Amino acid sequence: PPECWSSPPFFTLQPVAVTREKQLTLWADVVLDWAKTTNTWSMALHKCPLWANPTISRRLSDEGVAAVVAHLIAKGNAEWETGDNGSGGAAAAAAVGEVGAGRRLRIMWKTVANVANELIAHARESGMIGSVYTVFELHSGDDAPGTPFHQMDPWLLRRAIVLLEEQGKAALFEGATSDAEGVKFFSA
Amino acid sequence: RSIGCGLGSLRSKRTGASGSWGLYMAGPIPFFGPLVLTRSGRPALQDNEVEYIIQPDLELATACEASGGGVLSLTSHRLLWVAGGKERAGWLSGVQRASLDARNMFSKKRTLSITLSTGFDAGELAFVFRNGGEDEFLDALHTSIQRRAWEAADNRARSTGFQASSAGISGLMRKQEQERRATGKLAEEAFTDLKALMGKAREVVSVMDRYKAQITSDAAASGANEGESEQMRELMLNMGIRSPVTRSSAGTLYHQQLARQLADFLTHSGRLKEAGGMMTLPDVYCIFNRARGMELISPDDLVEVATILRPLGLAMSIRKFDSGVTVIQADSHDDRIMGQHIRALASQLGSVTSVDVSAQLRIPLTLAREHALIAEEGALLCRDECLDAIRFYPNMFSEWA
Repeated sequence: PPECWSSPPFFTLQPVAVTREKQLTLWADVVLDWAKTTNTWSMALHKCPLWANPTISRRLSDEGVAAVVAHLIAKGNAEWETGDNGSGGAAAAAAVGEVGAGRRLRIMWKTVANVANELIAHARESGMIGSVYTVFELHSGDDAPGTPFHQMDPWLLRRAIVLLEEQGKAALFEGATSDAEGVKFFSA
Repeated sequence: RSIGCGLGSLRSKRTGASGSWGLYMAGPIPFFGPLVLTRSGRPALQDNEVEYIIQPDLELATACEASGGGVLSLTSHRLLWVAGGKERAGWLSGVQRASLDARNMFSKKRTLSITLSTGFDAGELAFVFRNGGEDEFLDALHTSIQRRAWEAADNRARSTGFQASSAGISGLMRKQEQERRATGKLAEEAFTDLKALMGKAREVVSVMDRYKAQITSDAAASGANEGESEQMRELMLNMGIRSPVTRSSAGTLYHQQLARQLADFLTHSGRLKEAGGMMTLPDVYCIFNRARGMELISPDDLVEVATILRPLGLAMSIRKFDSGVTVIQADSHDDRIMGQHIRALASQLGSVTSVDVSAQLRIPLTLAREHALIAEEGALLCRDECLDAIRFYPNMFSEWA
């Protein structure tokens, strides 16, 4: 964990605007680093181990968590799994207030655009053009290990495929479940 | 001992002044000489000189000159005349006679004629009063001249000649006993006759001075009692005001003169500086009134006075914080510098609470909290909110982000 996470002021939402900006930026870095290291693409908000540091007996308040989440969403690195993703502070605070309800947050330490680019590049390099692959195959198929998409959450792959479809680089085939959906990659 | 020394130095100052008068007896001399002011614009009074009346808006007409819109002040020793940007003072010893012209039914204008002794360039001074106050002024002027305060000091100095009975320890003890009795008698007399009080006021103030001198010499002699004499020193210094500016002596200039006196009081012996360049209004109210002793000022007066400190350019001003705390702040105070002090303190101790800041910088808790908040606002500190208090850390976010 980075140095700031071991420092008590990090867990108090700073009242001074300038200082708060820097604090939220740091929190975003901490969350994204952790997600990348643990390969986490979505989590139950209240279960995230980052919000409290028992060693220094400090916990980020609900208001603080809401501010961090809002910052991440605004940066395009996170979104709510269910419900309204409006950027209003009230919505965000209300959402966090339902922490007990176990609301889940998707963390995109790679943005959808990043994943889409990687996907089409990988497809073209690996000779996957023309054939149809299921989403399941992409993240857990025999060829999946070693690729950046190994064990990636299906919702993210789907989003990336949808983006590629918009860009005219692939086609999405609807399926019964998310895993059963398919994609066909086009050449450049 | 030190009492004799006090009056001895007093005497040399006085003879210096009256001695120079004697030298000037050659040709006609001007009655008014230069008047020295303190840094806040108040007249610098001599030892034992007390201000009685301040009268604004007078005109002066003499054989040599005329000036208008001036302020005439009467003290126990001199007449102070401030007009046309010039401050001047004349010794009461040069006044032979003073009188008012008859009352006019049609206008309030009256002329106070002051006849000077021979040897001055102007035989007579005429002050024109247009708004009243001339009767009190003439009364006070007469009383001052009769009392001849400038001579009495010399007499008392001369009378401390040495006698055989005042030799040795018993002599010293007897002398101290006499003085103590005189002081007691002084208090009695002073409080039974209010008019005589005006004259005794000067004596009471000089008694306080003697005590003050005694305490300082005691403190210098025995370092062992330092704690005690430190307390006494503070107590005595707080009684250092000699001639309180009162409502009746300053008329319409009341708040201005009071403002100047307050500024003098706060800068004298570095009170405001010791407090860190900032003092809350309640604190100022307490110490200022305690020093005045009589003629206390009201809280409203203090707020009024504090508000005009800046317009009068007295090197301090009133300041109100967001929390509602109101202070008098010296112009020399800089938020940034105070913030850096606190930041350095936080670095040194790891983190600080308002209590730590208050203890380390020796300032009241309310002000410590304000300074810490200002430093936080300036991104020098960041906070950690615990259950019991807010701890301030040096702002590391700037380094991390």
